[in-house]
Amino acid sequence: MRLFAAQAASVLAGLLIFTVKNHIVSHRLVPHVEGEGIPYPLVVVSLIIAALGIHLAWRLYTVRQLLGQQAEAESAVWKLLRYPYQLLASMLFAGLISIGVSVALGGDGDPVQTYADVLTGGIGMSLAMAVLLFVAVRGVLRETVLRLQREYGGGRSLPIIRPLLTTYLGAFLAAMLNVQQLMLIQSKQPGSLSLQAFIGAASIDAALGLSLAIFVTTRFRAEFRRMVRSLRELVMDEHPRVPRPKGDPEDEASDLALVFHELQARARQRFEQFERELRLANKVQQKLLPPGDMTIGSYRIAARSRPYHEVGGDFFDVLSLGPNRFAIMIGDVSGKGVPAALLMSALLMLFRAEIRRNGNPAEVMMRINEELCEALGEEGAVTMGIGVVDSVHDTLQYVSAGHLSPYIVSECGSVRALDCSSLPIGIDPETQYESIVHKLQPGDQFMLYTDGLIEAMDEAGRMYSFDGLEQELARWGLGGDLPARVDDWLGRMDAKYARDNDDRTIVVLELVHAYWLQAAEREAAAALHGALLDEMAPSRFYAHDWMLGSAQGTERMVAEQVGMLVSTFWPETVLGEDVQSAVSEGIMNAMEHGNRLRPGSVVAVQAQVGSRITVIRIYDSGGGFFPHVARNEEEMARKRESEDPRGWGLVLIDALSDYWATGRDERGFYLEIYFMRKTRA
Amino acid sequence: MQQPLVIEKRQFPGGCVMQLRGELTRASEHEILDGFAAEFAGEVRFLVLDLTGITYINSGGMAVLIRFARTAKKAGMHTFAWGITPHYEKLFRMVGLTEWIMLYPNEFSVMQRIESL
Repeated sequence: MRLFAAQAASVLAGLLIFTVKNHIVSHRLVPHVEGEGIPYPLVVVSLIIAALGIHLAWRLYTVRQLLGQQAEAESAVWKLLRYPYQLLASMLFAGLISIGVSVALGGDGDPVQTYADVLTGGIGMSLAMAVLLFVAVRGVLRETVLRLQREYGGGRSLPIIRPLLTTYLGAFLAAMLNVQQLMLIQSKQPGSLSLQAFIGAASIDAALGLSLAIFVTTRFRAEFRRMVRSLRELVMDEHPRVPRPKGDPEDEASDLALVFHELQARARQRFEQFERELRLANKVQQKLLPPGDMTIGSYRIAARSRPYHEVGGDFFDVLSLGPNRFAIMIGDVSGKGVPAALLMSALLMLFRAEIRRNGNPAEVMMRINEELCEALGEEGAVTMGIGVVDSVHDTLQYVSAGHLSPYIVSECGSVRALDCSSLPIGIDPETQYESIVHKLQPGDQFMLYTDGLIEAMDEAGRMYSFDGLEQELARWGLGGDLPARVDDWLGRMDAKYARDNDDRTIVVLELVHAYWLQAAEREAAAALHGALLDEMAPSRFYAHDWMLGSAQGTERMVAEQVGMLVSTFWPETVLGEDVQSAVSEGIMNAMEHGNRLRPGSVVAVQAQVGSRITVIRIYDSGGGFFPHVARNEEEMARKRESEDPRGWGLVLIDALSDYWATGRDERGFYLEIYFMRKTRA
Repeated sequence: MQQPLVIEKRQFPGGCVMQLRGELTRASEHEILDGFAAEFAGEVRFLVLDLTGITYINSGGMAVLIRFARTAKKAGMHTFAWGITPHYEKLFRMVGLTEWIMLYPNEFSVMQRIESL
C-alpha cells in the first residue's frame, strides 16, 4: 500500500506541478487541452496510476513467489532492487506515448514540426515525473531491500553511484527540456510569454530538480552517518577509550576513516592477543604431557605428538603405578582446535586420577566413559587406548575405546595388530570395556597412534594408510635406538606426507632386549644386597631432604652437606669425599639431562644415613635413562678423545658408590646411590 | 657459593706454571682454554698446572682439563700437574685423565722431571 501510495502521490505531484507551471505560462505548454470538459493530462495520469498499480501488484506477486523458494530468494531481491529503475524507464516511455497521442490528435499538418515545443516539454515533463516516481519508490523500497539482503544473502547489488547519478541526470535533463520548451514557444510566437511567466515556469523546473537532488543526497548522507555511527558504537564497546564526538561530525568521510582505522587497530590487537593466547595454550598443553623419551626399568618409551593447529585434541600419557607397574595411554578427541584441547586437558587429568585409584585399564575406561557422558551429554566422542605394563612379568593389559588397533612389532620383524574393537567413550555411559592381556617378549615394540598419522597425504593426494605404516614397522625389527628411529621416521613422514590436516600422535613402547638382560643381572646382584638393606631399620637412620633449582654450581653445597653427614655419622670412615663427588655428579646429571637446565625445574635430594648403609635419592622431572654404564677401555678412550669429553658422571658414581639404581615414583625419575659403612685402608 | 676460577701464570725457561685457584668446573672452560695454545706457541714446551688452590672439581672440570692437555699436546707441549688431593687423584685415574696429564706430589718433583727431559 505504501508503495502504491508513493507511486500515485508522485504522479499526482508531477501533474500538480505541471498544471501550476502551465497556468503560469497561460496554458501555452499544452494549448489543445485548454477549455475541454475533461482535462486530457488528468485522464492520462489516471491511466498511468492504474497501470502502475497493476504492474506493482504483479511485481510483488512474482517477488513473493520467488521468496517462497529458498533457491530463488536472491533473484527476488534482485527484482525488487531493479524495480525503481524499471519504473523510471516505463514512466518515460508512457509519457512519450501519451504526448505523442496528444500531439497527433491535436492539430493539422506535420504534427512534429508544429508541436516541437509541446514534444520537448512533454518529454521534460515525463522525465520529471519519472524521476519523482523513481526517488519515491526507491525511498519506500530501500529498507525492505536491505532487510531481505541481510536475510537471504547479499547476492547481486547495484553501485551506490547509480541512484545518485540517475536522479541528478534525470532532474537536470528534465529542467533543461522544460526551459527549452519555453524558449521554443517564445520563438514561435514572440511576446506570447512575459518575462515573469518565463522565469516562474523555469524556476519551478529548477526547484523540482534541485529538490530531488537534495532529497537523494540527504538520504544518502543519513545512511552514511548511520553506518559510521554503528561502526563507532562497535569500536566504543570494544575500546571504551575512543573519544565520542559531540553530535554528528560534519565531515563524514574523515570520521569514517577515523573510526575504520580504530576498528582495524582493534581487530589487529585482538588477532595478536588471540595468537599469543594460542601459543601460551600450546605451551601449557605441552607441559601437561609427559616427556617424549622415557626409560622405565627395561622399557624404553618414545612418544611424539604434533597438533595440527597451535593446540590439538590428541593426548598421551605415561604414568608410574608403583615399583613394577606403569600405564601408557593415547587418546584422540573428535574435532580440532581450542574446544578439543580443553577436553583433552580435562581427560588427561581424569585419566591420571582414575588410573591411580585402580590400575585395571578396563575399569578405568568405564569410569572415564561414565564421567565424560555425564559431563558432555553425548556431545563429544573420544577414542582412547590404555595399557598397563607389569615390568616383572612383562605383560601388557590393554583396553581400547574405539581407538585404532595398536601394533606389536617383534624383534624378528613380524608386525601384528592387536584386535580390540569397542565404542569410543562419551557415547553410551553403559558401555562395557574389556581388556586383553599380551605377553611381551624381549625386543617387542608396542605401538599406539592416532588417525592423523594414517590419514596423512602426500602431494599427489595418496594417503599414508595402514599399508604404509605396516611397511615402516616391518623395518623396525632391525633394532637401534628407539627415539632416533621414531624421529627419523617422522622426519621422512613430514617431508613426504605434508598434506595432513589432523593432529598426529604416536607412542611406542619397547622392551629393550639388552636392558632386559642387564636388568636380570642387576636383580641378581640386588638380591645379594638384600640382607644388608634389611639392616637399615627406620629407627636407626638420619634423613634429610634438599630442593634446588637446575642451575649448575648449586650442586656443590648440597653435595658437601651430604658428604659431611656421612663423615659425621660414620666418623671412622673416609667416605665423605666419595659421597660428595658421587652426589655432585648425580645432581648435575639430573639438572642437565633430566631437567635440561630448564629454569624453575627442581632437583630433589633425599639422604638417609643409617647404621650400616647410606642411601641418597636424586629426583628430576625428565624421562629417565636405563642404568647402563659404558666403562670399558675402548669406550672411555673414545670419550676422552671426543670433541667434548663428557659423560663420566655415571662412571664416577659407579666407581665411587657400592651400588646404584634408577626408578620412578610419584615424584618423578630418581637415581639412588648406596654407600656401605666400611673402613677403607 | 660458586668460586670463580682464577689463573696466574709465571714463566720458567722452556715452560710456564699456571696456578689455578677456585672451582674447576665446566664454567671455567673459557678461562682455561681460550687462547693459551697461541699464547705459548713456539716458546713453551712444558705446561705445569698448580692445583693446590683448587677447592672443587667435578666431571665437567675434568673434561676441561682433558681438552686442555689434548690441545697442548697437539701444540707440542707436555702437561704436568701437582697439588691435588688423593681423592681427586683417584677420580683423575678413573676417567683416564692421567694418560694426558702427569701428576706429581709437588712442584720440586715436577721440575726435576722436566730437567731430565
